Amino acid sequence: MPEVVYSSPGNIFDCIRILNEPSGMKLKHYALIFLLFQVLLPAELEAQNSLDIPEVSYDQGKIIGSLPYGRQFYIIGSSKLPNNGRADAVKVKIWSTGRTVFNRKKKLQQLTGDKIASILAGPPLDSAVWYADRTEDVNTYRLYMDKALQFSSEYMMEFTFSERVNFKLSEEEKTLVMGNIQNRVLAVGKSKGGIGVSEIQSIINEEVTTYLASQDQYASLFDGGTTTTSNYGNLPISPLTLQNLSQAIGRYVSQEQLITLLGPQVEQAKDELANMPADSPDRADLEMEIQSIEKQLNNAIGGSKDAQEQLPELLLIIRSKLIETYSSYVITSPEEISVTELNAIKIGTAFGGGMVGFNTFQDNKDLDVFGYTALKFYLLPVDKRIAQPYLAGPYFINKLSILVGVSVSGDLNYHGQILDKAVGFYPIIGLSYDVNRYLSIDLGTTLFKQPSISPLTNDSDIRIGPVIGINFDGDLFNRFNALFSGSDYKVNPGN
Amino acid sequence: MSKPIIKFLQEPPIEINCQEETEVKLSVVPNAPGICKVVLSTLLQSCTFDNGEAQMTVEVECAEGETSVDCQILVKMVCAEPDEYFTLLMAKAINAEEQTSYQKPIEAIIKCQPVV
Repeated sequence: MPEVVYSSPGNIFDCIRILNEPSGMKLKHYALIFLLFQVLLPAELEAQNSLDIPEVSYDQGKIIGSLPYGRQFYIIGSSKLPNNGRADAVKVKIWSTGRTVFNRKKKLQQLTGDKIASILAGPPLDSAVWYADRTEDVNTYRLYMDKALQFSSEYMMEFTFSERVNFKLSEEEKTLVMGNIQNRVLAVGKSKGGIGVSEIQSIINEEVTTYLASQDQYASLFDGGTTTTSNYGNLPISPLTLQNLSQAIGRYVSQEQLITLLGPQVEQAKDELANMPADSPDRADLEMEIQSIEKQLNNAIGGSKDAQEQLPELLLIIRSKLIETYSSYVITSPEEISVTELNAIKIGTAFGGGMVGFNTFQDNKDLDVFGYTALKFYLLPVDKRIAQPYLAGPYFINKLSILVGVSVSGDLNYHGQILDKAVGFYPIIGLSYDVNRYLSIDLGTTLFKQPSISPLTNDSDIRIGPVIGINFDGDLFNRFNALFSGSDYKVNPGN
Repeated sequence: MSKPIIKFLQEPPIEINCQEETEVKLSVVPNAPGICKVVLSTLLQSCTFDNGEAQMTVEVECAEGETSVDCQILVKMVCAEPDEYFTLLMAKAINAEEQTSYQKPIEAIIKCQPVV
């Protein structure tokens, strides 16, 4: 009786060695079953607790490699900006173009400008923002994308880098900028018959930007052409201040318009009165009208004066807010189009146990059980690290693979006759169907040599026997691949 | 033939909210029986009345011997940009004898903020 020691989960080769030893068949059966569960259960539990998030690089306006599918992922890249600054924030938006590449005979045609514009106008599939931690000297951003992309699909991305740039204005500069703002708002108010709060804010932004862009030390920040914009929405001027300013300007402009309108009206009415017969019944009405218009005119003159006096006071509030201001230096990269492509080797590695259907329980209580190891060549793309490993194709077919393997233990017998190994081992070929990502049911055939039953000859015939089995798929190729690439092989069944 | 007289019956400024109709109250002395037109107009370029024009006209029936007619006009405005404007609203009357009154202005605040 050999000593059976299972020191750690997945100790497959120990188990195979034990199976090969000439012990009882029952031990073989139990060991084989135990082997599967010894490996499968801990592997499944480990998978439940693991979390591996792949990373993809964005460099020089391109995604390096292909986008991951079926899993959350990070986009990483450099936060350095063309102006030698560093981005304070990086934002990415992802849209699906609605096109897939799997089984497509022709290459995807380039998207037209109109199509790109219409996709960008729609809501993004996912977006993420990264903010720099200024306390650390880090030049790399990491954008966490929390939605899994579809396999073999095309996506469009837009990256926006923004940097906060602070400006300090001297008292002289403030006077200059405020003078420009005052002139502009009054001019617009007069020409448009009033001015809105947003318009005042826009004028302030434009005047501050125009001034800063004219200064040598800041000019480079505004040289980005169409890709660079700046705004002062952050200028700390309260909406109430702007509202008061809008009203004061509106009132001032209105009073000025009133004066322009009512002055000639008074003159016209007075002329009419002068030309009106002394006994006209309309004289009283006209005199009242003149009084009314004159009263309005006087009010307008007084109102205009008040509004004009109020303006500098309100502008002073804005001036005081110009102590320190900042702008967002924003670069929006041209849209990048990338496709999710298969990032796994679609060959499984099976360790299984099966039986050959020679004997029935009535014939022989010992079934022809043997262990085998095999490769599984999947017919369609498979990636066993993700929640839905079977990436494309119709159900059932997408779980099928061609099984090619060899037996590693056990002898076959037929009615008590030991069947020889065909080529030093029993080869196995067949089809495997994945019950889940780890477990498969195999159906195939094996070759063996049947010695002649005559004791007078050593001849033997090559024969084929049916095999039914169950195997554990360790996905070893992808595990080794991950190992060599320096990353962890982990399953994310929860995504 | 006498000119009609028109005046606003409200204290300025009139507050007009773009989301709803606002009542503007006027008094008209037609000085002629028949249909009298009341024309409201705005000097603001960024906004129009909901007919898409800078002015709107309402007809008022003035009976023989009626010295003064009070009318209430429902005003709705539309602005190109969501904003708040301080401006003038003007009114004039044209009586059945095609005589036009002097224009009367009143201050108005047009509130066209986006609905949150």
